[in-house]
Amino acid sequence: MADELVLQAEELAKRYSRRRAWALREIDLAIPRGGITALVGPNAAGKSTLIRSWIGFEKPTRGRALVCGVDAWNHRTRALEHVGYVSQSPTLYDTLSVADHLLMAQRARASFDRPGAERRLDELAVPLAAMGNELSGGQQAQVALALALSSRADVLLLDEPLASLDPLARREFLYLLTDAVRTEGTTALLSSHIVTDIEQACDHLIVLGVGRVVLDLSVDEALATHAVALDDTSTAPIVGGFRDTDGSRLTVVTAPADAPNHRPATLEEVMLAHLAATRATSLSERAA
Amino acid sequence: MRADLYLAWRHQASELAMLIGSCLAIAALAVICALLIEPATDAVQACLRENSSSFDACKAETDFASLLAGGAGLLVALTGAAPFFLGVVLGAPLMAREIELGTASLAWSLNPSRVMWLVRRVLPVAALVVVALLIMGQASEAVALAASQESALGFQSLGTHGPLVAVRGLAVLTIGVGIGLFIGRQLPAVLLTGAVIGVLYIGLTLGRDALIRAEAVPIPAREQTFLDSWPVDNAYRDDDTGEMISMDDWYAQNQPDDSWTGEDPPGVTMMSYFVPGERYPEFVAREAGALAIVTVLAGLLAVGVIRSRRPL
Repeated sequence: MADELVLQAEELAKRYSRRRAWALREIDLAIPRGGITALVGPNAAGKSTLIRSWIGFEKPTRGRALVCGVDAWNHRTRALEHVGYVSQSPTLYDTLSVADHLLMAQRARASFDRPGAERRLDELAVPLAAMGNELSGGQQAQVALALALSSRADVLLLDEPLASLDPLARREFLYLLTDAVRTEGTTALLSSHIVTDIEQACDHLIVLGVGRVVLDLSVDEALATHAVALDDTSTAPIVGGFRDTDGSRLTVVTAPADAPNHRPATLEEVMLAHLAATRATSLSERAA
Repeated sequence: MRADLYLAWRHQASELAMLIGSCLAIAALAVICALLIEPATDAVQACLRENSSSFDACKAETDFASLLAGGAGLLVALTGAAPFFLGVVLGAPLMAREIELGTASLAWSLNPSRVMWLVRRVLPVAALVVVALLIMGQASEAVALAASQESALGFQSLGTHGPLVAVRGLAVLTIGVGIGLFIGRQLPAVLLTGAVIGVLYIGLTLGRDALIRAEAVPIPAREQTFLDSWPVDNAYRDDDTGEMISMDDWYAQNQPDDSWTGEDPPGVTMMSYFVPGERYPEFVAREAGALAIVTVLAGLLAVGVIRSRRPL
């Protein structure tokens, strides 16, 4: 059961029009049940397109996006029964109260746990009587997450929901998410740029660059297999390099974390190295 | 269904309150007008009987009766326009707003079936529109009957009374929903729906006129009543042979003088081609059937669009 795949991409490719570049290029991914997977990548890497393919919002140009083994585009209704989704900037209805949103979700899904949603929102001090347009961005995201969590979906797809939140709201959001994953066995895919949040909450890491998967590892594996070269003598394969905050240049290599003349890389350094590498690839592809 | 109705109300409370309220207010005025017309007409006749020598003595009564007659005409005309206005203003933005404002993303991720969501979103609004227009149509029929002092209504008031008003409203609403889904922006959807409905209305009118022209039968012109369709042609019938002679041919053959006496010339009877009023319900049923097909097609279009539509 633990190895059951809940999210799969099979040679998934997406191009919005013939004149535009490929947003996704034949991606193959398999995410097993349980845990929180971070989806990281620079802007226009295809993160949102990938997530929207799994929610059935995007028709693949080629390949398939599967949710619990169900094709998300061709059998969207069956696939969506397994999915909860929080978009980049969740938009609630201005004319509906929070309680009305819960009623709407209850009408949409028989499995919706309304008392659970009310409890979660109560813990976050989000007033049920408040109208959608009376809530802050953070509160709107909390409501959207409560709606997704209480739909008792097997998989939560979270498309950069933390971007617009203040640190406290982010912390509360991640608490709700990790609590749901721990207690209900939900699987979550969290797209985010905020490395500290990923370090705290995620146990698996996928780095996407220019429409391709460039890293797909558990967080523990990523930390164990990447190191920062301390001098120029390293012969390990270079992942990528970037300038640190003090101006010095850091080079991350694929090597055991305890290799001589290396120090263990932090997760942020691993991600930054891969992002730098994908940016370089992107620039060279554009130039070509 | 009660929850869906409640949510539909919460989604569009101000528009629904204003538009449905206006429909019901017009219906109420029509009923009041219908109740007042007959006593007002009686009052005019009674006054004229008592003051046959002085028409001015009955000015107050005749002014009030004229006011009611004018009001009745206006209310009937408003009822005729209501399904188009209601359908465009409520139907087109219903889905376009969801896509334009981004709420479709939330709704479509919560609802496994987009089609079921569409039905739940549109059905309560459609039900409110149909009920409001049915009430309006009945009230309009009452006031039109009172104003005409006939026992039934016919072709002259087609589309301004009875259940056909609601059928028209449902068709326009469904078309608006389909266009709104396709366009995904409110103002362009309203404008395009208005244009499409305009074309549809012209087509419907031309089709109905062609049908009347095709099915009109010659009936002595003097027998035409308020219920019958408008005449599409006139001719003379030879009283001896029963042969129909076109007006042009008859004038060419007989070269009558210009003094028209109001009587048919000797040996012929003026005939008008029109559809008799008793066939009016059949024409209404045909239009309702055509609109039902349009409604189903527009609904299928909306289902097709929502299945493949990308939310923002």
